[in-house]
Amino acid sequence: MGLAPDAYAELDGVALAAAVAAGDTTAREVAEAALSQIERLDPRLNSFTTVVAERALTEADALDSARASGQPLGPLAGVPFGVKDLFDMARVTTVAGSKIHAERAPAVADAAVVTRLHAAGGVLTGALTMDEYAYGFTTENHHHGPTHNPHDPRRIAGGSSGGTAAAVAGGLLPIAIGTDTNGSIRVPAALCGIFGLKPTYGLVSRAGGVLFAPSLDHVGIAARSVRDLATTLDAVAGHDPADPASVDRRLEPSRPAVGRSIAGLAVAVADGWFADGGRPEVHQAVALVAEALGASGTVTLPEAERGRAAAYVITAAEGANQHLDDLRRRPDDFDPMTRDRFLAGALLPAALYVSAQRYRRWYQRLVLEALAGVDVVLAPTVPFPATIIGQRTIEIGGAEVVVAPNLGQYTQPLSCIGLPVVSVPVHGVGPMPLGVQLVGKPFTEATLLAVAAALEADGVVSAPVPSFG
Amino acid sequence: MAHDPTTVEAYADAAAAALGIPLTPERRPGVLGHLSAMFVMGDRFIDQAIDEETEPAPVFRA
Repeated sequence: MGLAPDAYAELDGVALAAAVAAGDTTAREVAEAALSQIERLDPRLNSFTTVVAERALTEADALDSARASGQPLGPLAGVPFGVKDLFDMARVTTVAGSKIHAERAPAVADAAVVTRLHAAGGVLTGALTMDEYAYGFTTENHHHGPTHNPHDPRRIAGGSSGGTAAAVAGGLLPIAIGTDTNGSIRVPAALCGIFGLKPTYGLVSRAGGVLFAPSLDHVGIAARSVRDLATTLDAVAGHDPADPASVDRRLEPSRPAVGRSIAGLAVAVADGWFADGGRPEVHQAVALVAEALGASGTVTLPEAERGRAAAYVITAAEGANQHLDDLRRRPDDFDPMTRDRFLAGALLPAALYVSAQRYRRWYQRLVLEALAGVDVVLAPTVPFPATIIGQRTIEIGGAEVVVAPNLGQYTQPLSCIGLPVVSVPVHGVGPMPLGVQLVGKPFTEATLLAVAAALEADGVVSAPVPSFG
Repeated sequence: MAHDPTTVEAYADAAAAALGIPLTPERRPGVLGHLSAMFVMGDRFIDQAIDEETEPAPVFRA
């Protein structure tokens, strides 16, 4: 029978799982198609740091045996997935984009998110590239080389979950897992033209992952369809006592929300900070989505600029502290793209860090008050499309701005207070894809996914696999 | 608040020495530049009046 790699790349995870469950293909055939795609295309993308082919085939064979013996299969049965190279995979060293962690012993167990996806039937294929220790927005990693954007391999994939987004956008994987501390799933998802979900802080366990800035770190999901985002979220969400930030509460399943009517929802466009700056096309993308949703009103999310500043300080201080010992003993082994920022963060006074954390609480209250009566807020994901690899500045409104830090301009103020966000891909407003953030109140992922699915059904947003091979 | 580069530099030297962090001549400009940017970011919120009951966001649980 066999599954041609091109046919594989056109199917989302839910379709692949349905095909496996129906016996139209086997989990082994799907895994072989995924491995073939990775072998053929990854030399051009550089999205994987490790491929666990033998494990993938073994897991696939186990699924096929389970099906043959009549055992129930999970919602992601046979669906290949990858994880950012900061999540533990048993018997593989978790590198986290670094030279330093590459010296460590292999992990003894899978990270929680890997375990949960495996329980849902997912087949692990490997680890995906990232900025060193997740401190970046471009995935131009000094140790592993830059990750390329499938829509134009001369350009960045975004970061820090660059391999996560590139592998999904390029048709190597239907779904992949990353993290989002300041925008690290949403930025690359937007630049690579796919869907990205940053759930509410604490909703998905980070246990078994290398933390970056723990009070801001979220697990994120990348996919080419909304139903894949929803199905994956349902598989990985839930309380985990191994993660101190994990929340223990009953959740509305997300998958049933896909296809649900969105009539009556209050949708508004964010003004102020989110309407300023950025290239004109990013605001055109927001207008396109707003028009499709009939959203004519605006809402002000207050204090976004200062909220972003607080996130910047918290990230620097917590990020540096995670690596303080290595910064003292062997700073030369850090990626030059991160080293000076980590060193500066290590020197920050406690007064600034604690003030940032207290400010964050105050800021959160203001934003939640502003969201009363609004179900979904629309905002750009990125201020400009993917830049050329190695490009350090970009012109916006007559001014030259630095690329890397400004990619988080619209994402940092939202992750700072843990709000759930779906970044939906918009193609056609320029030569490269862009993203629009659907922002909600905490734990309203199902509502955001319902809106994303409505946009997808209407053809307003989509994640086509480009031909770059 | 404007940050005098000399003050930032003196602070960085003292803090680096206290923490045992090597601040070599080749790294010095980059680190000082980032540290200055972090102080500028801090200026945006540090003077905000916040009531005493507003705690940081701890995840520690006893």
